[in-house]
Amino acid sequence: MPTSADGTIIVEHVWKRFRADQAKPRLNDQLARVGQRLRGKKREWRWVLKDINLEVEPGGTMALIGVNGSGKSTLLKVISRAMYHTAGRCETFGRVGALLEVRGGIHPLLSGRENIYMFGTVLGLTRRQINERFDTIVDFAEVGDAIDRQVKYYSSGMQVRLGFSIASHLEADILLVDEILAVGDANFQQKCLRRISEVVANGTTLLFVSHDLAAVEAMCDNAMWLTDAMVRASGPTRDVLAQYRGAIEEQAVMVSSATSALRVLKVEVTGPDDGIAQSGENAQLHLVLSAPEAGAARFFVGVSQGTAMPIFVTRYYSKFPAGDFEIRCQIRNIPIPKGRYYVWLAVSGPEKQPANQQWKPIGSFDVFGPTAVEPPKGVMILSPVYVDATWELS
Amino acid sequence: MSGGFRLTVEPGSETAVIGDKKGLRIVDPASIADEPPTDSYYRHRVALIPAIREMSRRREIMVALAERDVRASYKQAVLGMGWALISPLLQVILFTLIFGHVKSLKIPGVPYAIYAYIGILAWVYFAGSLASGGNSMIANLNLLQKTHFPRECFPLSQMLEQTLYTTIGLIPLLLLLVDKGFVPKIEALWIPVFLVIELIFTAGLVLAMAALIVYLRDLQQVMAIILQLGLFATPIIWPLSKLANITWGPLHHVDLRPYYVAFNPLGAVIDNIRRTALLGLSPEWSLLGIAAVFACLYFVAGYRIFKRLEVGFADIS
Repeated sequence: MPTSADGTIIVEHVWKRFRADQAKPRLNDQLARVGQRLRGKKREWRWVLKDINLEVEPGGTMALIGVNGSGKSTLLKVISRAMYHTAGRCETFGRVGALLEVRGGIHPLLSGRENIYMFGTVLGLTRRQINERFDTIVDFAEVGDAIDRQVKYYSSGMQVRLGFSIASHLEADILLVDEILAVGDANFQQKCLRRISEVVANGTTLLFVSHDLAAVEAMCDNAMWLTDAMVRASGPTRDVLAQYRGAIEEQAVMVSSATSALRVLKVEVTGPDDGIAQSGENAQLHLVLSAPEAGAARFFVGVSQGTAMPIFVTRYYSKFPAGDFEIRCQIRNIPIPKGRYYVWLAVSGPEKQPANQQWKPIGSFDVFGPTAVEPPKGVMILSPVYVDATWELS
Repeated sequence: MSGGFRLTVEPGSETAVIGDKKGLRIVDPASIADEPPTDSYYRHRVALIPAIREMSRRREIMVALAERDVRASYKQAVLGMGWALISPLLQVILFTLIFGHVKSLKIPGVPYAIYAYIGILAWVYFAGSLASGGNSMIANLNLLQKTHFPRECFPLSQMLEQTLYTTIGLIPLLLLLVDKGFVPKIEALWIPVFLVIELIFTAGLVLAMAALIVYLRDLQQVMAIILQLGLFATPIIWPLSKLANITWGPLHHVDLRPYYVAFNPLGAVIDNIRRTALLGLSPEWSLLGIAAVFACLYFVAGYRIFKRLEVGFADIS
């Protein structure tokens, strides 16, 4: 078997299954199952990873994206060897540091200091290595004097900081990060990202699982998109993200047109001279809606890059007739760079009534213009933008 | 992404890849088989020697886990580590009060308290290891699913922890010896040899139990019962020589001891500690030999069960 340089991850045709028959462990259920198997019925399996191929070279950065239950975390566990794969080949070279839910290794009854030694050893450091890093770890975790206090008296933020701090100071060849950014405040998230980019800058291979697409884009050169235990797309992060966002969009459009009382008949975004929208120029949003009865409502329109988090939102209050009607919205100087964007619509009653239509994507459009300036590595862009808009209903 | 799709099949792969951009690969889900080819299934090797070597390479983790549990379990107790001393002491007082007056259990020249306490210490080490080691895998499921060091660390760290408690338990023994003015015989130097047998036997059972409990939680209850019965089924309050001449049912003057120590090597261990240290006799090598061989069998079987089952540890929870 050829050996590779430290920091390489090789995953070839990896499959992983769990038992599908969720029979209760009680005796009569078990006996029923034994009976079934004796009668020649095979045990049922649920495949959670199917034919996964992935290779990351030393110092490479790869993100795993996909909806919940698509197999991202399982793949990470298989790569970290916490779990065994069912078929295929999975190998890592060099020391693997896994940051899979950082609070897992922290023991609440022990003090911060004891936890650093305990968790550090479990993650593969020797006592002397921990001694060397001890002060750095404490500084990063910002626990200060609380280091000799029992961890159960820490705030949950402090616990997470401590866990992340220990795990990120491993100096591993491969760092596996699973959704750590879901916890902790914005400040800490930014700090985590900075720390991870530092680690990556030192030549550590990174495998990153997150639902935070902005973070994924900021951290990783390559990405892999998993759906239903299979790889859907892999390649440069931007391209994979574009695919992923597009798919979320399509799915959401299908759901929205099926369930909503207000039907969207037409969505169009145009730029100058009814052409394609352009960065910094005025844009026209043209909506044709159909309502079963007349009423009054607030119309919210947002523009996003595929996620439910819009880049900007604009709002309009109006009465509307029964049947088809048209809404035009003139947005001045749209402050977004080149790319594909999605229009989101929500319609709610004039008072605090439940929404006639929930926040859903209804269509997409392209913008021409300069490409976005890429921020330095490890920085997420999440910029709310104010837009100047005029509305009119006919 | 409209138009210009190209269907390519990667060399050496059955997966169809559709791509129209540099570097971007889009996989057609329909091209993926329902199951992997049968020859690619992962086989877990159960090689004993490399496993033990890897284990000893990562022994620091075992120590850290043991340390964690010791610190955690006494952190909230007012008496702290004092409890490691108090519980065996209470047990010996109880046993002496109850069984100290039974004539048939008396051994001339040896205070019963010392006699019983030696048995209790050896038993408590075994029972404590089995109880906490057996539960160690399910107690550490969250760590288990997120780290990748040898899984034996969990049960074996519990044995290490029990070693500490047993060592502390030697303090009451010393007090007893001083109090009764009893000096152990020179043959007590053999004791470490016996303890190795106990260690190997215990490790085998602990490993098997830890692995099996992950799959069958009922064994937790079974284990509790076994430990309760074992306290009386092991020569702790009674001498092993009681089995030397059994007449019962179809048996006429049969020496059951070789069979007994094969089943329970602890019997030979406890009996020989007493023979040497208390009575000054030489060890009974024939019984010890049987015990040692079977302890090793228990160990190999236990380790194999553990290694065979460890593949699924992280899946079950």
